Amino acid sequence: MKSKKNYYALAFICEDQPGIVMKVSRILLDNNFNIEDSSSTLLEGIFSMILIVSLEETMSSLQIKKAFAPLVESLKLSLSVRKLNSVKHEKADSSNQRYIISVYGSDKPGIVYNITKVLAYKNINIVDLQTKVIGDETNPVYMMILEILLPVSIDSNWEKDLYDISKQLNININIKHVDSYEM
Amino acid sequence: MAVKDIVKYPDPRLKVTSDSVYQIDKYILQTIKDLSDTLDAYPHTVGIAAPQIGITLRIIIIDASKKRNCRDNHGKLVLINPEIYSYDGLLQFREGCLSIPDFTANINRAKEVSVCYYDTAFKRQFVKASDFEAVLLQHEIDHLNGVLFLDRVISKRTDLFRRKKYI
Ligand SMILES: [Zn+2]
Repeated sequence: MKSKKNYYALAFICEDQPGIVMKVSRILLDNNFNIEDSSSTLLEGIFSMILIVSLEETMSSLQIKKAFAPLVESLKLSLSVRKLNSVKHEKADSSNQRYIISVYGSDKPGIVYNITKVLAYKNINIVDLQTKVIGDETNPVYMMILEILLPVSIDSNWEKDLYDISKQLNININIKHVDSYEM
Repeated sequence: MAVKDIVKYPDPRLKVTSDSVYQIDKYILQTIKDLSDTLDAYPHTVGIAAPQIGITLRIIIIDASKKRNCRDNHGKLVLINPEIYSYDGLLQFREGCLSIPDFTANINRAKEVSVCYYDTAFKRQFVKASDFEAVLLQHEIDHLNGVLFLDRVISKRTDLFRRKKYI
């Protein structure tokens, strides 16, 4: 936990249009918020953004929602606010336990569930996940890319279990170790 | 043994063009020794450039042999006034930098580079490096030109998926 700042998670979802980020960040600026971490992307025409923000003073979730009320109204935005007790900065991985897994195959139910079930049983943490249906309408292909962090103690079978479940589902999987060094 | 403090961004010394070395004197030898000691002090660090210890001179040290399973490398090398004179291929690697703690990013680099430089006896040398060692040379030589890997970041998401527009 860093100093005595207050941290909040803000999630915004609305139909895409130019100017959303500018309007949101203007309200944050006017209320002395700092954006500590954020991720936003366009999903099938829906702009979605999650911000971790900090504030020196204290504001209740309701007060934050009030500050955004005019914007929620004009952009038809959905907003959720959550006060956080602490934040953990993700450290660069000197332990070298970071992997990228890519999975793809003809679209069928259960790909995400079955792969993440193996990861959950092995106590492996997903730090990033993206999925997409690619290909054309007659042959839709499901594609998923995960970035994972292994726990300090890990059962060495985790890769084999992923290969086995992929074979059962008749999908392709690649597991790549992400090497990263300081230079 | 003189392990120097690492200069961290936003220190302006990381954003300037470093000066060429014209002769090897006591100061240059001491700088090389300090750089070498500092590099050795960090087990997960494979290269260092003089601006990273606050000396804006064109000196780098690389040691690709510190990476696990790194085949094809030239071990620990001191390069003075290094210059890349040919590039080939493309490679993406996740880089980190001592001067930018706790951040890594995917960067596109040439897969092979040929570099001319002066050694510690101020003799002209040439080295051809590939893969990891080539990435490392490009990262360190960037430091001599005030370029950080942050200047070369490519978006993490859009290089994977281009989202279709939905109406
Ligand atoms: Zn660096």
